[in-house]
Amino acid sequence: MHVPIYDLALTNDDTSLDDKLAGKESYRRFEEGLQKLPQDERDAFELHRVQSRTLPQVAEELDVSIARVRKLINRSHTKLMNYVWAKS
Amino acid sequence: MTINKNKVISEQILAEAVDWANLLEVGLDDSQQIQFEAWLAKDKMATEALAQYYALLSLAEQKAENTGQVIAFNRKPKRSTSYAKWGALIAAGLAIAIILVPQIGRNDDQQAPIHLEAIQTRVDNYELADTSRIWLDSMSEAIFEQTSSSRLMALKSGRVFLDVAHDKSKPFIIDSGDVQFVVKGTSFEIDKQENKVDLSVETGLVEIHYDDVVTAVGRGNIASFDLKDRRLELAPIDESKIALWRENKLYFDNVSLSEVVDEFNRYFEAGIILNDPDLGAEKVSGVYEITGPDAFSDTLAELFSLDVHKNTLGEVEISRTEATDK
Repeated sequence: MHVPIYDLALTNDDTSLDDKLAGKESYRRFEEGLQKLPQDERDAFELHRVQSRTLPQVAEELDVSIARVRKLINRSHTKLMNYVWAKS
Repeated sequence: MTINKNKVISEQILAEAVDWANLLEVGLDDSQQIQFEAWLAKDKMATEALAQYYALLSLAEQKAENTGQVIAFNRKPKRSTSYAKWGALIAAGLAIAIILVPQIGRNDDQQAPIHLEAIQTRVDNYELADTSRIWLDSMSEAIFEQTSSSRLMALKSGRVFLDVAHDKSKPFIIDSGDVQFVVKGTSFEIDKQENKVDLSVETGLVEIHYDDVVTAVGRGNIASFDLKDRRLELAPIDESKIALWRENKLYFDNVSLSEVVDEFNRYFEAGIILNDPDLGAEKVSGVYEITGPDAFSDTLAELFSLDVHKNTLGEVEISRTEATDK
């Protein structure tokens, strides 16, 4: 089986071309959506979900309470889901 | 399977999905489980929203990999115990998440590590953006990563043949654990075995690094590194016989029959069994086609006057005939 390695994840599964394109489009919209988030929500999301920081670490970094961080992250999740998939 | 973008999910359901996902991460008690099932049953968009949540986590993970935040190979979204309990439903969500997040947006200078694995019966080959080629033999595993200054491969098990495109500024380094191989543009095979690592150079030059020693191995040579004694031995090899498994062939030069059978069994689910342990010590040489266990065992039977028969599992059993016993 021959696979171009730079397309490995695209070709080494059973996903259809539509799904692959949908994946690329989702990622593009995800990046775009991140930029549209309010600064505090984006910071909280990136620290927790991208940089894998714990909630207390994020709270310390942003100088807010853990409850506030949780709220910021939850909001960012909802907004991003809405942005990436609901409005294409 | 894909997320349906034509159906609009209300922000309320999305927010609820986030809340439930948070709870699932720490685990649900009995009462919460009932509520969760009711929430899923109440609105068919709930499942979709949950799938979106996991897809979002995968996108974040993808971003982490793209920005170098995650070094782990093939990292998958965390599964809590309670998550696993929800079985098919949540798994479906996760599957959507994984499917929707292919390796994308990588530039040539920095790629996230890629896990390569050839299962039994299969030989895979890959092509890099720089036109280098990788052949991975059956039952072999490696991890490839490209950085701005090098091309790196960790050979976990089995054997690999590499045809490396020349790039002076970006050496290709293969780490087999105890030994490292450094090349800039050449083709060669590395065979990682239990007690030794063999390097066979088809073209160019390969540097072998171990302990504080560096040895250059040129075209038409095989270098065997003994893992126990940490000793390197060099010998000439016919370049045309290197990594013939790429062409569905195997080459043996005075190799014990038991090793030969092990080699063939890489490629067949129902393999060959040597019933007589002494038979395994017989030596074999030559080039053999990997067409199937039957063809090879028939050849063996002819060479050594052996008895060959297939058992109920489809395996080919080889034993000495009565005449050869005597």
